[in-house]
Amino acid sequence: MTEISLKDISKVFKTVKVTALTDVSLEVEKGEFFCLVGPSGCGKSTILRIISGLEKPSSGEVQAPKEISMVFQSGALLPWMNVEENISFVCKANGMSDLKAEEQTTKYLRMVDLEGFRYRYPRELSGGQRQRVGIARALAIEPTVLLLDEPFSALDPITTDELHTYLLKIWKETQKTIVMVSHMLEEAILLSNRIGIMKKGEIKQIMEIKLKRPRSQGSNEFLKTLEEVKKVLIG
Amino acid sequence: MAIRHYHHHYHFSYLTSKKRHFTSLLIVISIITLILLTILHFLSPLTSINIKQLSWETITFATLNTLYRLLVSYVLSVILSIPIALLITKSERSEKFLLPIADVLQSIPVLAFFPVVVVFFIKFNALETAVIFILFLAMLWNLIFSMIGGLKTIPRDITDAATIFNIKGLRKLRYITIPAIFPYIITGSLLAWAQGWSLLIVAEALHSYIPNGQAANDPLGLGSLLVNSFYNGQNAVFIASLIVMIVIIALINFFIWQKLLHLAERFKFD
Repeated sequence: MTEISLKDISKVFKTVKVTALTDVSLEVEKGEFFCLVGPSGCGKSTILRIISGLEKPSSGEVQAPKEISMVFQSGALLPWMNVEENISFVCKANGMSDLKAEEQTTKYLRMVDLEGFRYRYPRELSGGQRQRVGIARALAIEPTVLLLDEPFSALDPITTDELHTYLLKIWKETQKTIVMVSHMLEEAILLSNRIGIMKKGEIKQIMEIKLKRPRSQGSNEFLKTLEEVKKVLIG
Repeated sequence: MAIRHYHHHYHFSYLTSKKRHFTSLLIVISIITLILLTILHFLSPLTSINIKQLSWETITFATLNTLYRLLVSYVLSVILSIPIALLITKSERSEKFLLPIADVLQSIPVLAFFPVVVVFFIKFNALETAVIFILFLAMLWNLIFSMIGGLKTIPRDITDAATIFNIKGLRKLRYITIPAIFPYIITGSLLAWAQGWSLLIVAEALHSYIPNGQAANDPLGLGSLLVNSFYNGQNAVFIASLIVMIVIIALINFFIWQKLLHLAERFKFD
């Protein structure tokens, strides 16, 4: 079943006269892990913003469910609220009762192993922990689609590995449709069912990653896939 | 470990600033007193100071009156500056039109309207309101421009998150916008109060703007006390009110602004 569908999407930023996207079409299946990769400025984040409704396309058609949630590069946690408040506040804003918000907070903090950090403030957490709170917050409103905008690009490689494991576990447990934007090709191949390779505002190729899970970055098949992706980006 | 270190660092700097604050207050007061006494000694020998003119009652009343005026004008300007700052930064278009207007308005010195304002309020026999109005105008701009600065530094991720998570209207204002600009409200308030104190001397000494005005018409306050005591050669009153003013400013700084500035650290984005 198709969850998200973009048809001939173009986006021009009028004030700066920049064409961010030209005729992008894309379909994402329900329960799929889809990743958009490409160099910075290729328009991948713009696609994510259009799916989320943060940005309107200049032309073309978008179909996406309303229950969309997002994980941001910076985490986007509010510094004046502790971990629990950051999550429950968002739940309440989406119409949950205090009790339900509390339940959701506990449930998803447990999922990212941060139950003991409930009353900590964002500044007291490491970058990886903040991002895990960001993921828990995004899931707590029970979205059908989870969008991730370069969620790990500000983190060190070891923390990134750790968060990949969390993300895959969450994807398996919740069966959400995930669309992620990344400039790290290895990350995209490691996590996704399919990747959309982007260049200069266009999707050059959509590649299915058939590697068996769990995937290992050192395996020959992995490296071969990486070469294929690079070829598309360079060629 | 890192977390503990972070907190320790903040508390440490806070405590040292407390100590330093009091020490510098004492030093400043002694230096100013010394300088003033020397100057006044040359102007009129100290023996001529009439201690009887110095009444604690007057100074206390003057202080309370002044604080009341500053507080009322401050509260009014905070209440008004939030919607104005929000309106100006609402969209690119509103910023294009309103920001230059605000810029021109703020560059007109408040004291330029003062005579007109005074004449206007005197017509309604509302001197107190005239003082408050002038202080309010002086404070308003500092707050508005600080808040605009704050609103423009809210990270895009935060505003995007607010949109994605359906946080809007009053909820957004109360839980996201106001906390996000809280550090800027505090720095703006500091500037506003500084401006208020410095304008006080003119704002309370209204009689010079009134045709055939008498000093006796001035609303009692630290500002009018300073001006009129100096004018009448009541040196003791002059020095006493000046010292009271410095002490009050320092105490407000120490007990309110220092604490709020410390608190504001918690509201800053990394």
